[in-house]
Amino acid sequence: MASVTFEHVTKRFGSVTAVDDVNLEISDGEFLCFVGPSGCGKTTCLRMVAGLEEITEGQLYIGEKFANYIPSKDRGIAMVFQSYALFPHMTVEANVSFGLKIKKVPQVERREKIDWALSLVDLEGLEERYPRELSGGQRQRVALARALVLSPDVLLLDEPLSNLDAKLRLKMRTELKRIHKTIEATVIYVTHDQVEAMTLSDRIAIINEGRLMQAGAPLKVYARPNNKFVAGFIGSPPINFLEADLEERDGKLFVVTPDFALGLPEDKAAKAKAWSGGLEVVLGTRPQDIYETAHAPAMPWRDNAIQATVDVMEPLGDAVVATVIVGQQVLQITLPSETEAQLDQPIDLLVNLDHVHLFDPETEEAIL
Amino acid sequence: MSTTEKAREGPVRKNGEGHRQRINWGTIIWAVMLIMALFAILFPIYVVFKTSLADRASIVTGGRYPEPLWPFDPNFDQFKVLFGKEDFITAGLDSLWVALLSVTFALLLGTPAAFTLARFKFPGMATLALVIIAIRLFPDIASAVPVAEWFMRPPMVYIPPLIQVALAHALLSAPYVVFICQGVFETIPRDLEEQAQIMGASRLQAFLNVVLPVAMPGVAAAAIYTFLLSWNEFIFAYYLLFQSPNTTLPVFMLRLLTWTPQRNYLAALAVVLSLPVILFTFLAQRWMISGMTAGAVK
Repeated sequence: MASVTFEHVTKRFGSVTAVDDVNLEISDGEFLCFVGPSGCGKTTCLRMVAGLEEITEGQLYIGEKFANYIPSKDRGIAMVFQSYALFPHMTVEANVSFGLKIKKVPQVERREKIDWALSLVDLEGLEERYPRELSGGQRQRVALARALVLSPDVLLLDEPLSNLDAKLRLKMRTELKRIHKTIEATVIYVTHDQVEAMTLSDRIAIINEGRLMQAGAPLKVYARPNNKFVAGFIGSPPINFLEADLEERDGKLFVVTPDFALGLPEDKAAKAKAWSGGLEVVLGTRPQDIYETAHAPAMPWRDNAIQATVDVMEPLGDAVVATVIVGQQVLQITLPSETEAQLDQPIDLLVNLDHVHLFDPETEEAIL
Repeated sequence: MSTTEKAREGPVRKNGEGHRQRINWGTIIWAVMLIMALFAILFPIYVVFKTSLADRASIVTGGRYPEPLWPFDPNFDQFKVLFGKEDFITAGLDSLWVALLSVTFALLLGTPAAFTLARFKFPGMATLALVIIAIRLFPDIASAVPVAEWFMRPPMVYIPPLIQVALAHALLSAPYVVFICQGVFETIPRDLEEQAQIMGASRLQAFLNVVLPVAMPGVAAAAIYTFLLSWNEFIFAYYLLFQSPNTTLPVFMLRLLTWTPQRNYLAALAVVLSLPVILFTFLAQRWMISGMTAGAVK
């Protein structure tokens, strides 16, 4: 077990900066997800921990050790590639025992470890199969067993579930959580799927264009995004962004869009007043925080009603995702499945003002 | 009549009475050309095979009757004579030894070079690739002279002649090994090596334990090519073995030709010369299992 620390880590490929001044401390035994859109640099971060990419600037520590120049094999890590990278000419058992053989682990101990790893991923009985004789899910497990058998301090997983079908992905997600509990290693997980990141990890680190946007517990990041990018990336369906102005009316601060105005509660109003960036803001409100008035929970504000028209309805079973039109603007909202909303009919909405986000339109930083 | 009815009637009319099959000249031309090509390829093989089995009366006709399409009395007499000759056996074994040795040399030289070209990017790569194939830009007869010259001087002259020939053959085939193997190595995902390295392997261990076995089909193709090239090669062997008692089979055949033996005897030698090629190809083909990399990624 070991912690992993990034200090001002930067990676450049020629003139392209793939990772830009990342500072992050991953504590011992933590499950951390790097999440971000394709090409944001999350895999590069992982590969730097693995020792597969040189670090251009900054320091990487694994445990207490300065790790920039430690070769991969001496870092106490194991990795599962997105492609699984199984050795096609070797059986499952040979694949799993490869690392142990190279490390000259004695036969008896090797046997024990292989059996332990294979049982952990539920692969007993397939020792003699070749990768080409396995299903996608089984291959994924072999790759995982091959990493686990080395008893790594840090386990690196590069989009390990992205090649599985949706059902298997859910199952493996649960498995991974269980395995993490068993092995107690530090796990660094890369994914572009924010749901996967939210459900799996102790903390998520959101990366965009090589920069670390925010790192924190999933629910904290969801509730308190640092900036517009994080707010937009985390949460499904995605948050609604609207251009708005701040306006003071009768001593109360309002967020005014062309089609409706929301009066801010006092604590938020105080923060917004303290902000010195001008009057133009970006309003962010999650689909889950907009209620149909008829089904709204008890809230202190009843003067934030919005008149809208339902444009599209997408039933999910337990909820309905509706796209509604407010004047010139389009919002996505989630409604309970027992909603009476009708297509192309007007609907009354209420916004939960406690969960409203405001962003600086220039810097995209969060104001509230 | 609606379109669907017309469509339904189409095939009926085609098969019906009075329908004249249209001659497709295109197909006929293609078929004729294919037959001609097959004939061109198979006729010499047929002649050699037939002649090797021929009795004397079937080849020495004196112009009184046409040569028969199949010998009057097919037999293996010429093969028996051939295999009874000690110098033929020696030449055959020498040839085999030279060919296997040149395969070894060419692979030892070629695969690491191919791997380097496939995996590392460095300035001057294109030039290097051209330099590697340079020897093949000259006709063999032109490059044979300097190569033979070179082998005639110390220290090369102290190398046993057959090994000289094997080295010369490796020189000819190494460029092909490099090009074939480079292509193969480029298809092998880098992930495999990186995975091996993370698991504790050195770069060399990763190459030997992972890359090379996965590349085996391609390497086998290169090996077959090298073997055939050496087995068939005449000019280099001829020069390098000029003063040596050793001969390879093509050189042996030339020495045989100088005293104009009977045609059936020569044909038998030609058949024997071809057999190991066929055999080696089939043996190496076992490695050419398609989809060797299946299951490696995804």
